[in-house]
Amino acid sequence: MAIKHKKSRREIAFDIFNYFLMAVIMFVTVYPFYYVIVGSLNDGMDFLKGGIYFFPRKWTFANYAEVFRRDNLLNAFAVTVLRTVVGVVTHMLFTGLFAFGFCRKDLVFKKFYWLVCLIPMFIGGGTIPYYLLLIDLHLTDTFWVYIIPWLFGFWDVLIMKSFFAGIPDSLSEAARIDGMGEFALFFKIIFPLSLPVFAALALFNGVGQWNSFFDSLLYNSGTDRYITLQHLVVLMLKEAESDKLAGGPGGVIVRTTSESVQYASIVVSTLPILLIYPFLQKYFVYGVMTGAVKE
Amino acid sequence: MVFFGKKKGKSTLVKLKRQWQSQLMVIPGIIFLFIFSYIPLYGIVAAFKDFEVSLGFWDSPWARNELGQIDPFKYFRRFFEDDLFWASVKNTLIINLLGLLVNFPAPIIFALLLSEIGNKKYRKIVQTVSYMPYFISWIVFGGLIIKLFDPYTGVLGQLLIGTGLVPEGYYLLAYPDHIYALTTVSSLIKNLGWGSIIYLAALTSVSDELIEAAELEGANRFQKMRYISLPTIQGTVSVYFIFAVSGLLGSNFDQMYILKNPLNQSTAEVIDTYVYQIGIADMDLAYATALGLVRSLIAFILLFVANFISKKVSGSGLY
Repeated sequence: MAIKHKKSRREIAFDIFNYFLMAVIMFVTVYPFYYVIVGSLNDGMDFLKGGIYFFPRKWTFANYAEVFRRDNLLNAFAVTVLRTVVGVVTHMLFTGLFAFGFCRKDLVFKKFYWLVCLIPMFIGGGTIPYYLLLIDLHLTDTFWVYIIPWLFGFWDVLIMKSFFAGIPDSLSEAARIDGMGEFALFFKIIFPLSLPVFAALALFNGVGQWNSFFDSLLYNSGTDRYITLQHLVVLMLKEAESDKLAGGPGGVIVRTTSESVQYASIVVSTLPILLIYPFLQKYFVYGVMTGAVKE
Repeated sequence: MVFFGKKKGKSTLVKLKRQWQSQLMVIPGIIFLFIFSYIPLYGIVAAFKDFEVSLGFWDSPWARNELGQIDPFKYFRRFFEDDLFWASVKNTLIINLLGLLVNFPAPIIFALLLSEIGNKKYRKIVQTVSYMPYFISWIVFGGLIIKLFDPYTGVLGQLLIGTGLVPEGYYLLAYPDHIYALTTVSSLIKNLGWGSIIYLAALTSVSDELIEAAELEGANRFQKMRYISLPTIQGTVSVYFIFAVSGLLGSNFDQMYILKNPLNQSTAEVIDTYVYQIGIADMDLAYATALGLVRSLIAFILLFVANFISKKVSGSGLY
């Protein structure tokens, strides 16, 4: 039985402060996104006059129309969607099968496999040797550099493994006695039972794929064909910024892409995540909790 | 003995035959690791060679000095004289120390405060909102910062000018003085909520009996926080402290890349962006490999140091 105790004045003051602080944190978090959306919905010329903070002054969807008229942006959008979808499916399949095989109790060479997996968690070759390897494998300037290096993730293996451990052995044993092969066992029994963990990991992987910029910059800068949305936004912002830096106060400002169109591009490059996030939040939290328990 | 050996060998074969499907699931992953994790380890030799892409790791000649003698440590000596490299080390350390000071305790404080919010619905909303920026790319987040500080159209840029703090047309990102603060604050906003999850989870394990006993003794909420909640999450705090210290030379490449520009790079250049600049943009591959190697060696040492400190101070470490 909890004891109700009267709140002191100091505690009430603390409560008020605490609720207020949380409101401030929420505002600081949400406002930049809100602001960018407002900017993207305002007429481009009018926007340059400044003073638009909370509502568009001249409403328009022209900026979005302009964004989707650009071939390079459409191409980057397609590349990003494709890498996310193909990347997540292949990663889950490859890593999931590995985790399931790895869990088998009497697996021969298990200790060796463990060692092979653990060492790279502590030491790595670094950026440049990895880059040179990708050149040797002829993966640079291809779409596959977004898929193949992403196939395997040992953290995901650890999380799946701890989930599989909770599935009763009798289930697998019964299926094996009925003559079911390991692959069929995985797809027909283990995978459907592990949907929550697969969903959570797929979401994290998908967000990583969608947001990835480093690999596009390093491995696909040689050609425009496989640039991702994030990379394109960087190029656009850097170009506009260097105009601004060169122009300076009172200088001539030549904007290759209007401010409002840049805003619209930023929105497009993050909208899918903003849209799915509130609905899938519980899976994200579930994912990080499962990972944390492992530690 | 021979008998046993034979028997064991045979049973391994039998086992392998029985579990070939399981092996077939695992082996592609092992091959993957050999290619993508172990070959780059071998690639470190590039740091000791006069590396040429066309010749590869194996056939590139060992590094030679001006006299033509073999000198494998040529590139390691070079970085002692490389002022730009040391500037990037300094920036990396300052940004990370600020992070340790601000961004490390912030999620802990946030979790403690959040758990004091009585209204469940409000708490839920705060959580949902504060986790959100974690899922947004640094590119977009950095883009927002650039746009917010635009002196002609951005809210914050105009606010600064309007209050007379800065002159007309002042673009904050064009000045190196503000980069440390900007990096720290932007990391704070992006990771505050998400970073708190782990501590919130640890807080749920606070024992009710302890709380009730403390209430009986007349402890107020601050005392409960200080003497019950905080000690409960101490183990989690130690683990994350060790990660933070071992990451002192690391950085967020995307964050720094988007915030960096030609005018602010004296403070915005960190080791990772410098290695990229040297290795990929300037194609000085051997030197960049050497820099990367030194960086990972120091990170490795830091991990042990942090673990040692954590064990001494709080009694718990990673191993």
